[in-house]
Amino acid sequence: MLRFLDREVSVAHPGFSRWLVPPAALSIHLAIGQVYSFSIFKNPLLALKGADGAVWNLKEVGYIFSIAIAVLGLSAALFGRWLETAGPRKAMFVAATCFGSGFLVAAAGAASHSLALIYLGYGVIGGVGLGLGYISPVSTLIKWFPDRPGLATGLAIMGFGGGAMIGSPLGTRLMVFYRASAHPIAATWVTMGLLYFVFMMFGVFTIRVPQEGWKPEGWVPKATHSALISTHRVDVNAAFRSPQFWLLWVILCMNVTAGIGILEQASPMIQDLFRGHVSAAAAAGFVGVLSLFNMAGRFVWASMSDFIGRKTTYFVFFVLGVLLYLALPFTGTAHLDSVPLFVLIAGVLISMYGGGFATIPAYLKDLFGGYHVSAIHGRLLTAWSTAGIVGPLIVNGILDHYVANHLPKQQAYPVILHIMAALMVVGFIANLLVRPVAQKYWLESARSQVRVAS
Amino acid sequence: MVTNEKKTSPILIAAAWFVVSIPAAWGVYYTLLNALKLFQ
Repeated sequence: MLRFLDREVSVAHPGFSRWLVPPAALSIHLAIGQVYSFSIFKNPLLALKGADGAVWNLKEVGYIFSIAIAVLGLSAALFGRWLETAGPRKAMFVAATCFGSGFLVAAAGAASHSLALIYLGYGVIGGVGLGLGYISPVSTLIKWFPDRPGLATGLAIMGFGGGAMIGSPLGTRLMVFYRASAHPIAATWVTMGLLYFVFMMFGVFTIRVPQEGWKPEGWVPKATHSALISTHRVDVNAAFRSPQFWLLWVILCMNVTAGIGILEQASPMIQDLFRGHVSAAAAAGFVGVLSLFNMAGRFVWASMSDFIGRKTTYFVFFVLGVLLYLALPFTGTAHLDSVPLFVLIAGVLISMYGGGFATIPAYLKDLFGGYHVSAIHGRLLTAWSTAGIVGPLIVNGILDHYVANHLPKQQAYPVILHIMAALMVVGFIANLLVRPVAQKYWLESARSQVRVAS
Repeated sequence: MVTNEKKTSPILIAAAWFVVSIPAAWGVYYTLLNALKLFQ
């Protein structure tokens, strides 16, 4: 019955337009990007009371998001290899089922006031849906767009940034709609689970893999290209052992950690640096501006990387990043006192944060070929999970130190931002060290072809 | 040689993009409304 999910059934017929593939990928990423808007449920969950009057604290509720992100990284790393053999359609179907049913289990948890059920539903089951959904369209897009891999993966990963923009108003409106019911959060989650499942099914039915040897009409691979762009194939396990994998891991980890430094504290930071000039409502607007830069950066930088190269793109991120992180504190009231300049610099930094996420699959494809790119990407996403822990630890640790010692909070931000600039230097060095993948990591067939040719 | 190639209809491509663009545009619209508060 589920044979339509098999890779062989999803092979495109001759004449199939590759421009149907990005919407399929977008439907998955726009759905799972909802996870970034989870904070809208925090206060309603804190206000929920159990039958015995028990309530949850902020830390307990905060774990729901943390578990989901941790499981995202783990499942992407664990199931990446399975995805390469099962094909994108089956992986997207499993992702949709997990993401949708995760909401339903979490809804049962909200209705019965069981935090364990919410952890299991939204965190673990939903987290598997996030991980599989995030990596499932990547290698398919790269195969359909060998001429523009950055544009293709940038489009999909832009969807993940846009997902929060849909999830936030959708969740808020649904909670208002169900406010008179006995369990508004549970009803909201059931509705969201079903809506997202249906929306993701659009991607499942639309996705196709190209026929073996397919190439875009009229496209001829360049005879000469950068030494970093490989024409060989590297298995995920071999890639995992190569220094290039770990250099890219450091690159992604540094870029994301630095970005989180701003995202984590965006609203309080602008209010502290411009005390009395920026209201709480305006600060919320600043968070909205950053979301737009984050989303646009994913598409613009990844597309641009097709022309200027991946290494150059990250070179720009890290050089510009160091300068802008160092400059940001000088826009505050103590120096230039310029809110527009602060917003512009923070926006460019966040665009590079998003751009870093969106450009990495194409960088992986350049170095390791398209053979196992989704699986390799899955393992690389552990850098994101690490950054998700390290970034807030740095920021909150320094802020707590200043508050505990009764020091002005504004003075903590230059320290935080200088640390972020230092992280960008580490990323710059890692990017500088990236070299073509050595022949010993190539698949045996590719190695023997080289031996025959020589 | 006759090839049995069936080209994808441009209407189908437009419809697929429409399906994903509508919720995305709705989300961007709400975010823009929120972002405008910074300039008020």
